[in-house]
Amino acid sequence: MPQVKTHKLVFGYRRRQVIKGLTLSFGTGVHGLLGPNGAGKTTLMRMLATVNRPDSGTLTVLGDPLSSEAGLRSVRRRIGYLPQAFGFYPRFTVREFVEYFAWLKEVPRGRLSDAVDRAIERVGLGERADDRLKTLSGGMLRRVGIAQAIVNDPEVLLLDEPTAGLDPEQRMDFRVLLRDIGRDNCVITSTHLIEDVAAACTAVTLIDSGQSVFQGTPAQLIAAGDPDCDGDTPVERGYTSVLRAFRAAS
Amino acid sequence: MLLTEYRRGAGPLLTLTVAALVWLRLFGLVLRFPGSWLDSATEVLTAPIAPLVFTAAVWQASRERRRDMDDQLGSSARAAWRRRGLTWASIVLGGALGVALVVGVAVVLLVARGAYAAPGWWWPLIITVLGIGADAALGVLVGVVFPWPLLGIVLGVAAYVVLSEGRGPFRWWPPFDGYWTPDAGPHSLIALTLGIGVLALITLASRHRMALLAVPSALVCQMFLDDTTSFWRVDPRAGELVCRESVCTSRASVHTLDTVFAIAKPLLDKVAGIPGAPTTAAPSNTGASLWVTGMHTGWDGKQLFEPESPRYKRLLVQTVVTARCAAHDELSAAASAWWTGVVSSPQEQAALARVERLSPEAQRTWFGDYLSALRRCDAAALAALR
Repeated sequence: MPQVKTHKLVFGYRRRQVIKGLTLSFGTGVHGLLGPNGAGKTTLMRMLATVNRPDSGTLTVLGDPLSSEAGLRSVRRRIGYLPQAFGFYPRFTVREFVEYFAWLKEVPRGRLSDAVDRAIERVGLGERADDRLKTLSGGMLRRVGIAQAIVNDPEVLLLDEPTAGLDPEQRMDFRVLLRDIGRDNCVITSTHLIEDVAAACTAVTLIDSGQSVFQGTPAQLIAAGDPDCDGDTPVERGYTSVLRAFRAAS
Repeated sequence: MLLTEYRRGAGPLLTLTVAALVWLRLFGLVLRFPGSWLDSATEVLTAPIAPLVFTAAVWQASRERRRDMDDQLGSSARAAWRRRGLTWASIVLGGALGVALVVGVAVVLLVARGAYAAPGWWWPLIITVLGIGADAALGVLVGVVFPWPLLGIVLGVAAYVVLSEGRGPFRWWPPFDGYWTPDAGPHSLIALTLGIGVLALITLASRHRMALLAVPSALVCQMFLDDTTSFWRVDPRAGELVCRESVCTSRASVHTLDTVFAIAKPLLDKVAGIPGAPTTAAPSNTGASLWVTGMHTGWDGKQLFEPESPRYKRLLVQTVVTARCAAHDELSAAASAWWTGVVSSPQEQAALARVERLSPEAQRTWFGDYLSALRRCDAAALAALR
């Protein structure tokens, strides 16, 4: 059963419609959400994270249609979210910041300390746990963002551009972490880095102009690639081919 | 979480600045003794800490938007009012801790000196803490509404100054004359209004539906408060005399008794046995006794500002030697100078010299005659004494 389902989802900012009747489903595994700039990836992620409510259509997360306050709160306890614009309090230490989010996610008091330590260790910041955030590099801050997103062991993890600012070694470590979390949970990661998708994702969703273009496995995306299309790698060629075909048809 | 929010936010700075302001209000720069328990509590209440607390709260509450935390916080399970409540509580902790630090010092001094505790003396402290709560809640609301903390702070402090003019805490100050103690009823109403006000502001800042109930309730309480004219009742016990031998102070000023005794007793001894001369010192200005007025003392219990107490000596004898029926300033000054030994002008020195040319026994007779003539307003007799 899919952990996240959208059906004819519509959302816009004032008069501009950004999501136009999206119907998608995401089950256990690591899902890469791809699309060009302005495709609506971040808007969709914000909706999946329950920050924005749909204008119409239905959004079901972990079996809950998010129609009641109690249901919304219950779902929020079980999701993790790293937004594209990750905000932080520079005077907090890594541990304090992650602990703050554990509190916000209503991690039970008895489990809180262990959950915080585990999240910090999983992103490789154990030795910097007591350092203030203002002393960390951009890549380290991104890892703090991931730590706050996973501190509640989320069943649905939403990561918007999580590898931005990470060096190649950190990105490889991050992929390992993604695969680990994605074994039992639903991970949706929005990215521009197609090689990350090919390396770490079990499924790919491609959207353009707020509409679904492709949903399948990385292998299926590669298979859809036209050898004459632009792109340095098979997955890039698949991405470009599918996108061009969609644009030509619409 | 509260301690983290306090330590990493504006809390520590607020604690220090509030402590400094309350310290200055309570002890001044000269480290004066704060007075009775009620006087001390009232001084704490009147310390101008509201703009500080408000400013800190605006800063702290606007932090979420300043730091672009909206998305992360918007997807968290914890209710918004709990988050706002945490911010509010950290500011209240900062302000209350600043007050508590200074009050702690005052408590030690007050206990050590056996200062008078009027019934309900602690009300101003309760109101102070609740006031910090209300100021912080207002700051949280402004901080949430205005993403630019500086504008919020400027607007808030300006509103404080305008609204405080003749209203707000100033109405709650005790009357200047007589002995008063907080009236429990009106002070309970103040506390209730501030408490519900906090609830209203926090629920408004969190867009919680409880605001629909809390805001009207706070307004109703405020209306009742506006109709309340008296927040104090007379404290008859405070005016009772507490004496050592023949030197007395009011119970409210009992902490000054040692100092007053040390100054007044030699004066009484000097005129002992002179017919008509006062035999007691008391807080009464009828002229029948030395007039014991209020006195600022320091930590060591000694009088402040004038270590030799020449002015206080003159104050003590003033109502006894001052003519009330005719102008005899020169005689009055001579009598005061002879009695206290304090001379403040060449004219007084000359007048004193004339008296001191007499033998000691004649000087005492002269002083007795002066007091007798003064009481009778006998102009001829007074003229003869020149």
